[in-house]
Amino acid sequence: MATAFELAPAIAALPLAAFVVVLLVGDSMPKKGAFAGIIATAGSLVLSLWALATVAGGEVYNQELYEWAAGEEIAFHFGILIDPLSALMLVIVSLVALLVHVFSLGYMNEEGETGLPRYYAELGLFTFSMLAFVYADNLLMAFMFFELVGLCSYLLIGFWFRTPSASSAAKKAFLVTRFGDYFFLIGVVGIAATFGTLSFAGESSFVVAAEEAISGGETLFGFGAETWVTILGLLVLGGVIGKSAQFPLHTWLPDAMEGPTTVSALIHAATMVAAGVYLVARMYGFYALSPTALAIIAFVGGFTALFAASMGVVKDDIKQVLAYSTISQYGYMMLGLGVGGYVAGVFHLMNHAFFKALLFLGAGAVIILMHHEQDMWKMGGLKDQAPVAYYTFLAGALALAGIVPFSGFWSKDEVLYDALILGLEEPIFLIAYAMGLIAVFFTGFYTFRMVFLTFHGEPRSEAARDPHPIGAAVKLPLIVLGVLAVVAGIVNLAPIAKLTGAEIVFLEHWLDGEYGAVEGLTYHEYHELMGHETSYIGSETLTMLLGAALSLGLAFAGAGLAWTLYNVPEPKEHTRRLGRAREVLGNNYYQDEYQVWLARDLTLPFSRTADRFDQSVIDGVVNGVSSVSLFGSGRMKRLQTGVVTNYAALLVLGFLALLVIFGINGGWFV
Amino acid sequence: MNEWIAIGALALVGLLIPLSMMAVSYLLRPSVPETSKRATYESGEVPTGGTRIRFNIQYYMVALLFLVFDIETVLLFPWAVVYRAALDSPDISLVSALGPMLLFVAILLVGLAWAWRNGAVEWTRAARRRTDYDRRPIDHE
Amino acid sequence: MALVQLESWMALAPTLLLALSALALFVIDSIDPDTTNRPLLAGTATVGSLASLAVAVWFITTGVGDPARRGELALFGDQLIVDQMALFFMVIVAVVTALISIASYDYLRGHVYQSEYYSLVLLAATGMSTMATANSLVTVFIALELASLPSYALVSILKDNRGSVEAGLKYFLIGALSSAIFVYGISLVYGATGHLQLEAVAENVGAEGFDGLLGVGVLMVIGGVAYKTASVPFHFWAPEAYEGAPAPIAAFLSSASKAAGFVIAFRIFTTAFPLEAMTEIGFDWTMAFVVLAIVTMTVGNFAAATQENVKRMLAYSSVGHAGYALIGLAGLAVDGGQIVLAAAMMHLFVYGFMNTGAFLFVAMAEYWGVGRTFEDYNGLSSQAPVACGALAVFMFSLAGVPPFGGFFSKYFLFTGILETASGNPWLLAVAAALVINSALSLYYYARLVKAVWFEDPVAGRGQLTQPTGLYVAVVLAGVMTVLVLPGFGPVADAAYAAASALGP
Repeated sequence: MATAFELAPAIAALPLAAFVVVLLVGDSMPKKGAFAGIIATAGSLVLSLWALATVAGGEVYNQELYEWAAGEEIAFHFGILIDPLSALMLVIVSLVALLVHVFSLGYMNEEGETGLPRYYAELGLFTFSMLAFVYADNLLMAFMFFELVGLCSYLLIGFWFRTPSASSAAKKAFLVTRFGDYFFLIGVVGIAATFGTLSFAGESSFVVAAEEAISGGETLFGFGAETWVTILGLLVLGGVIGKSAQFPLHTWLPDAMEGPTTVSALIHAATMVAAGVYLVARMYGFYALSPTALAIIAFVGGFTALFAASMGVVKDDIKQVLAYSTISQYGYMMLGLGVGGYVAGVFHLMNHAFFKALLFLGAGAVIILMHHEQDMWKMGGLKDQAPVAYYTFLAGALALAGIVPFSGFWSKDEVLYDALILGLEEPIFLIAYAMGLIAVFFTGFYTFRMVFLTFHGEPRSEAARDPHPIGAAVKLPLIVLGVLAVVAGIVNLAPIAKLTGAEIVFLEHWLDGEYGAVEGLTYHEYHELMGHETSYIGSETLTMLLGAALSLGLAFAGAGLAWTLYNVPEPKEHTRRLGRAREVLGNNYYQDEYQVWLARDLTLPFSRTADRFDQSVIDGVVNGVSSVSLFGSGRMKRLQTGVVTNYAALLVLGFLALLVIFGINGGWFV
Repeated sequence: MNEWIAIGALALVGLLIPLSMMAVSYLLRPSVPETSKRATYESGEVPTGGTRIRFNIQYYMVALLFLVFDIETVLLFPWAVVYRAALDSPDISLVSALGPMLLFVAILLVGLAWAWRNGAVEWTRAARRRTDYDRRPIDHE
Repeated sequence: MALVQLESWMALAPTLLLALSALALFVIDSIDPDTTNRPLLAGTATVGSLASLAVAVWFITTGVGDPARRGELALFGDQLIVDQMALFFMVIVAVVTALISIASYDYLRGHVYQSEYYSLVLLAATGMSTMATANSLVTVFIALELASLPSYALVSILKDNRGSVEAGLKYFLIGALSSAIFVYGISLVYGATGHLQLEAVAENVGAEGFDGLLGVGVLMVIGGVAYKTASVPFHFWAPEAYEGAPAPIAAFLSSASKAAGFVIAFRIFTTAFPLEAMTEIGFDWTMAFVVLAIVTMTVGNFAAATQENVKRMLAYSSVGHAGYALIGLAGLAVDGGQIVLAAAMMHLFVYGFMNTGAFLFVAMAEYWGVGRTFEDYNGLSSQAPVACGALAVFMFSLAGVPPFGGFFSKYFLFTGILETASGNPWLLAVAAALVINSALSLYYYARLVKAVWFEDPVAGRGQLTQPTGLYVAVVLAGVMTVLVLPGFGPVADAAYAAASALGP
């Protein structure tokens, strides 16, 4: 009987098989390959759950499987690392992938889309890449699959490639994330060159090597070890910022909404975008060595949370709102990880995966209802027409807004709590905390603005009055995710645990290796590495209650404001009253504009100059060499005159030349 | 001083002797120009025709064949001289003494047979068929 | 552990088989002087060379010549020696001869001197094979002449073709001059050391005190070797002879004959003139080969670059490759350098396939009568894709482009020379010349590929037939050029074993 770990390669291989099969014969398969994808992802889910159960049983798996290149000092290999973190992530990814596949039956197949085999094949390839990324046991393998998910994202955003905006959005997503990945790649090379290993875990991991270098006070490449680790960490962070759509590389994500909504749910909300945050969590031991890098992560996260939430307030397109909300929520995760809240960050990652997938799929359902209309001002009153969609969407919205007791509350509160207690000790982090806190208000506001505009009030268009029905394939994933959005919080009810003393912080124990973990990859070891001091207002409980009350209050305030403004039969576009601010927000703080300016007015002229240099100087040298060669060739040919006596003469002369040179040199004639 | 100087001196002397002889004879001899003196010397015969005439290729063929068998004889001779003595020696068997020479002669015989069959010893014979290859000039570059 | 204990002279079997097939051809021709029974003639030659090949390979695999297994066999008072290097080069000669014999089956259609052609090829091959085993200056010279004399006749075997005859005459004249220099050098070496047998020469280097004389003699021997390998400045015959000769003969001369020239060079210089002793008497001959290698590859490649005639381009390219192989001797050092020597042997082995193949493609073009320049070859791929595919393989392999055998041998040469360059900084110049010339060579090799594959076909070219023999030979050579890659392990092992057994 094979163990779960022996079958671990199949977790990723099943979707790959689905990809191959659908690619080859998808056209002649029932539902154009949807079932192949469903079966494969269901298999992955089962195996992932089994792996999760095995990890819960105290076993972990860190196995090198195939060495594909070996040098004298470093070898590159593929391997699998299944520990609490990756097991959890495997389940999340395969579950969401499965639900999205099911949902696609209703969203894509029933709409009679063309190119469905391509769609399902790409979904399969994505699922494969994402799962392989999750359990990669070394940074290079992670990087490879990180790139591969990026490719899938590009392909899927551009699924409707005949629409100019879709293909342009795909290109934008590809280029912007690639910009971040350059830094990531340099970081990978740097880590490999510095430590001679790229493994995440075990004795020979680069984390251990970095730790030893710092404690040994070594100098690496002319820097102190800690400075160098910070530099490497920040380089890798470049990839994270690109992939997880953090400021300033977040601009691709809203555009990525050009892809099918299912793709947005799977890739651009629940899984791929999480890859960046997951990577930070994966190599958290490395970041824990560098307070500077962590602080930067915290500030990038806090700022992104607030920044993106503020833009979400003015969007009219339901998917745009969700896109900015996604950016904002990943900001929270980064904030959590940056302030040392490893558990909080991962907890929010998990919850967000569920409720954001739910919201996107809900938005997908709304789009079906609305005959492919995405403007919220043309919706309204869908509450009674589609109760399943409404209540599940509402559950997701409550979780997103952070209303107790929905899942989002628990994790977001924990992130903010971790930021607060660190900020009380090191006031600089209070700024990050404050940004996160203000974002709570915005989150509550835009979430309920969206809910009210979409589902409440009077229908504001023909489509809204006569919605298209939705089928079981749509409802089922919504219900599953709706339930998860409501209850997922119970895995780590930290506040209640602190109040009652009950041992119910399961996730913390899980990540802390209570059930089993790879040496060195546990929460408390990270904590020891960081050595963060924390302090409290009054007592720990009081601090916690104050923080929770504050964030809950703000969330309610935001939701309440949305209630008063938009929960009316005929809501008005109140954003008009914001004046100039609306313009700035509507234009996303001119982020795209300045990036385009950077590309077009700064990089392009520079590239032109470089090109001119290349064309004139470099090519000139190359052409010069070739013309000299050809001229020399012409001369060489002249040697051969065709007259045999010349040959004999040249031969003898050549020989005599050799004789004279070597004779004189060797002293033969003395 | 090294031995190469001696070689140089020898070359010099070798060059000087004929030159000086020619010079001396030029100084001593009477000069009576006459046409018969300017004619090519052909052992007293009156020369006819130009010097650049073609010999029949068969001369060479016969000469080559002669040379081959001449050399064969040269090789056979010392072998024949030691043959008896070799046979008397206990180390050398009849095969190893006689075999190589028989092989050698056999190879020559094959050659002779081939040459014979291909008309090397016939004085005249019909021209063979011409090949149909084009007459290609050769580039000189 | 052979099944039967063979007489020691049987170690010469690869050579003897070639000689026997030559005699068999004479017998056939004697029975019917005007025979044009091409299958019989080509078949005899092919069978003979394949048998020679099979025996040589069998010897290698059973360890004949391997000092650790069955030992090197010195024959006839050390005049001949059968060791790993001898067998390695016997294989090369036999392979090329077999390819030539197969290809000539079609090429000689309508030719008068069928049997003469094949018997001369086999006699020359016998000479080359003997060169591989020659272990005394006198056997070296005799073997070299045995290889050369039939070659002169072969080059001019198209008796009604002025180019062929002219080329043969030039080849003969330059050959005579070079042989004279060579044999004069041998006499000087004999005078200075009192010996002709190579080991005996080595023992007496510098013993008699005629150091300058010996130096001149060695330099003249280098001249003889340079002639046989078509190295500058003894290369002048090569472009003419290759171009004028029937293309299969050009292939034969540029591959097998060149390899044979190198085997005598390798043997003479590693055995008879030990570097240490020679350096003491003031002649570090590696320097001579450094100069020859650089000049030869540069002249060969530069002259090839702007040729319009494909065969002539290949002729110069073969001069350039002689320069690459000379690195094997240039890179030798008092201690070490076997890597470079082994790399040079590998290069000659691979070269035996890719260069023969390239010339045989030219033979095919001559057979079709499409013309001789690059333009004439335009778009041949549309009519003969298989052969043109093989041609592309040959060209890229000759240029040293990665997937093919030519890359690996060149790569080993390059790394080997860098490894030994610590002892002799001049080798860095050789390495640089190797790189520059390889880069240049890609230009003209790629030009031919471009002409054949990318240019529009010449208008009005008739239907091209598919000559079986030529096709088989070309495809075989192409397949081997590719297959050498996975099979490089054994080849490299054999070359390395041969080189280290030789050892300076």
